[in-house]
Amino acid sequence: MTPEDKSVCESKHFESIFNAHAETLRNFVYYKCGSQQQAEDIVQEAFVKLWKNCAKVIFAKAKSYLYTVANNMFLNEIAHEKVVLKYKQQIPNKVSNETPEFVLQQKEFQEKLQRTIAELPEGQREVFLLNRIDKKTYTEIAEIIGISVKGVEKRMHKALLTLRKEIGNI
Amino acid sequence: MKEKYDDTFLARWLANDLNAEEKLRFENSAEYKDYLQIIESADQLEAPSYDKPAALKAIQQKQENFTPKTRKLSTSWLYAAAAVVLLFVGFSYLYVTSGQTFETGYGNQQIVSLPDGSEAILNAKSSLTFHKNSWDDNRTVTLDGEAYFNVKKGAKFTVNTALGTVEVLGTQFNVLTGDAIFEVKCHEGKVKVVSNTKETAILTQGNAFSVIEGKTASWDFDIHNPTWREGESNFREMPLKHVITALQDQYETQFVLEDIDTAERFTGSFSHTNLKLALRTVFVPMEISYTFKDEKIILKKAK
Repeated sequence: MTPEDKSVCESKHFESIFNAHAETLRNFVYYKCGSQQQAEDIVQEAFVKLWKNCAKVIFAKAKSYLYTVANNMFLNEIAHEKVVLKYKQQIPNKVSNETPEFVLQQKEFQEKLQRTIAELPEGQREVFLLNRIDKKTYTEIAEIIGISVKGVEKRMHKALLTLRKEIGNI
Repeated sequence: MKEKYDDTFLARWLANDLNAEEKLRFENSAEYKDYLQIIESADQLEAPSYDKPAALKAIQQKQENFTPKTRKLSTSWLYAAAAVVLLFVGFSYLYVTSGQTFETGYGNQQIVSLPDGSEAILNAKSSLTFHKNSWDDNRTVTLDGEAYFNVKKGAKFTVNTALGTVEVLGTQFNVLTGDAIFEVKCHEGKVKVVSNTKETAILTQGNAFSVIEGKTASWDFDIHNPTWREGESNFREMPLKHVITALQDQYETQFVLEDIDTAERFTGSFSHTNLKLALRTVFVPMEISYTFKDEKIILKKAK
């Protein structure tokens, strides 16, 4: 059975689509709107819509269908919040060697980075975070957003320039 | 530093896509450390946690509401599509070949607009068929029952009936057909009538022509008298059988005929709005008694 033959209407195929894409989709919407609740509602609606149209959407196109639907839903929402991200728990022994001063500096730097990311233009932010957090390649990101790989690289480059410029004044 | 790199340089650096020379140059530059720090710090970031199992469950709950419907559709839509195509082909074939038909029920009248703006007013229990597609070349309608035509001037307009045809160029006239009955009344203009018995008549305003049970008759009528269109049916020397049918058509009643001669001729009219009055005006002069029984009307010779 080739992927094209799989019916999205079958529960196991639907679930595999969910497991493969739900989290990145949620993050993608979150990077845009900054609201976890809103992002998760949109993801839910997108999957419900996919199920309703399961006979019309072929398996191979389900991913781009989900991203398109979610993006359209996002565009229809008015309220946007600032993206807030967490830092992973530091591995204790890694920080133990550092001086308290250095730790404080690190913390300040991280806060500044957070704020600057939140203030990046939406297009740059989603590219930067999909790449750094979700570990998506430029090709995958290009597919998700629906722009060229070159376009993704340009956004990435710009995002880094902006981040350095803003944080550089620390 | 703006001109130092092209517009995807940093992206390519992150993807490890720089050539050795570019890489070396960048790693020796002052800003390299800044970028490295940004990336190292950014790579410790994570998105808010996402409860996947709970999210999937929520979606599955929503699915249950419409699961059966969707499943059925997905398995049989090909058949449905095929059926729709076949139906469409079938109907369009019927549409092209048999034309459009309008029918009226008991006691109803209907105005039918023909493609060129001409009108046909159908009396009760009548049907009219015409071909919309070939109308421009051939203004022909087929009539069963009774209709009043108001024809726009133009090419020949033909009414086909079982017992004869009526041809006009643009006029107003009434055609009545029935069991062995064919009657044409001209209200305006000029009408050519050809009966199946090969008799031809040219009618002008106020002229009437009929072939009833093989017998041809011509007479004049007053065009100002009320007609069935105003709620009153008129008859001239009409076999009683047809008058009873006309009563049935208007009032949706059933008659039971006991020893009465339906070949007798009736001249007069009846109203479409009052059954008792209609029965009295038709049957009293004919010396026939009528009684209601089980929603039927029994007709007997009056004693």
